[in-house]
Amino acid sequence: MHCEDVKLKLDAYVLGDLAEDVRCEVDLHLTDCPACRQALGRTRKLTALLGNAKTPPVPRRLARRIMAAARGRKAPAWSPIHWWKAVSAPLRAAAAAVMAVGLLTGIMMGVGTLPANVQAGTQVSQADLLRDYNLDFLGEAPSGTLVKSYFTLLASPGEKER
Amino acid sequence: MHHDSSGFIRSRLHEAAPHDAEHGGSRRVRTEPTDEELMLATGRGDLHAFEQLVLRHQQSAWNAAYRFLGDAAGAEDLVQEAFLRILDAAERYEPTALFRTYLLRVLTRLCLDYARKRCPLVTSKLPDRPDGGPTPEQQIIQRDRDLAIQAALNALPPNQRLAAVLRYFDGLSGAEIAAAMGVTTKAVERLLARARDAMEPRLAHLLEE
Repeated sequence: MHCEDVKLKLDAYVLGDLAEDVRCEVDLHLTDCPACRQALGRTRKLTALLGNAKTPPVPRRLARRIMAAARGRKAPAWSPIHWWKAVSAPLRAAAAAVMAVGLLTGIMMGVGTLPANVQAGTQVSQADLLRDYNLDFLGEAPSGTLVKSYFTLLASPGEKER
Repeated sequence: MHHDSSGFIRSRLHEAAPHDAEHGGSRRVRTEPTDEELMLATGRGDLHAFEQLVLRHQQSAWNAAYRFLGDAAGAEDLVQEAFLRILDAAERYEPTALFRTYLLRVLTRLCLDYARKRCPLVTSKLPDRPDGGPTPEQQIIQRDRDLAIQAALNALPPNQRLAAVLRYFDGLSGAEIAAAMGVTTKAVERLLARARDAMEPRLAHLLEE
């Protein structure tokens, strides 16, 4: 083992963190190398100095602070996706069934309330819509006004072509 | 998911002896869950398990973060962020390494990111310790020594500083430092050797005492 290799191992040597065979090699080198023995002495002193340095204790509030942040982060903000993942499979199936029945009922009711001409498949003109929604009073606006022009446009789109 | 259930912790409590004649009642013995078991429970949303992990490992994380930064407020922020990142990833946790190594790996990444974004460290003061034991003179000597050590650490490049902190203040082995920093053991040996070379002249007056 060369000096450069030993130098890399000195820290682990001092802390007893070397495998037995490596330690023996380092020992062997140290017996013959005064420079590495000096380096070992310096490493021992440095290790002792740093080891004796006192780090301030953990602030008492730190764990409380972490847990407060953790609770805030994990507070279950309700969302349909989270709910869907959280509930059991039978409950999910039941919810899906209820939603399907509701949707189907809605569609059936919607079909039943459509105007007769739509149900019969006939096209509804803009004039019919204005009448249905009681907006045909717009036709009484003075001619030349914007409202009158708009009403004319809506009520009889085909007339323009004629 | 029930994020705050403590069922796991409670399940670790069991009756060790049905009847203790000497004390005239039943004796409950707590079997401490391992870190890895606590992490798995945390992944299932058990915040009490997470709290146990925080209490067990905050000292280790604090030593590393404080000595790396030389600043208590910054160290608190980094330790909190490390634990919260672990909490966020708890559902995906797989116990392939010791929890402490996992925690320090997260923390070392945060420390190195912090060092990249931050200006060079300047040590002007260390927080007061509520340490009433030594005399005022001894306190001053200790304080000067701590300042010199922290200044020597701060002068190191971030990766050398991190290796030195994990070695000398957290007592990690070379293999553990390598795992925490995501480098080889050989690289750790080189980092520590360079760190020693850089610190020795700065601390010469203390090493000669």
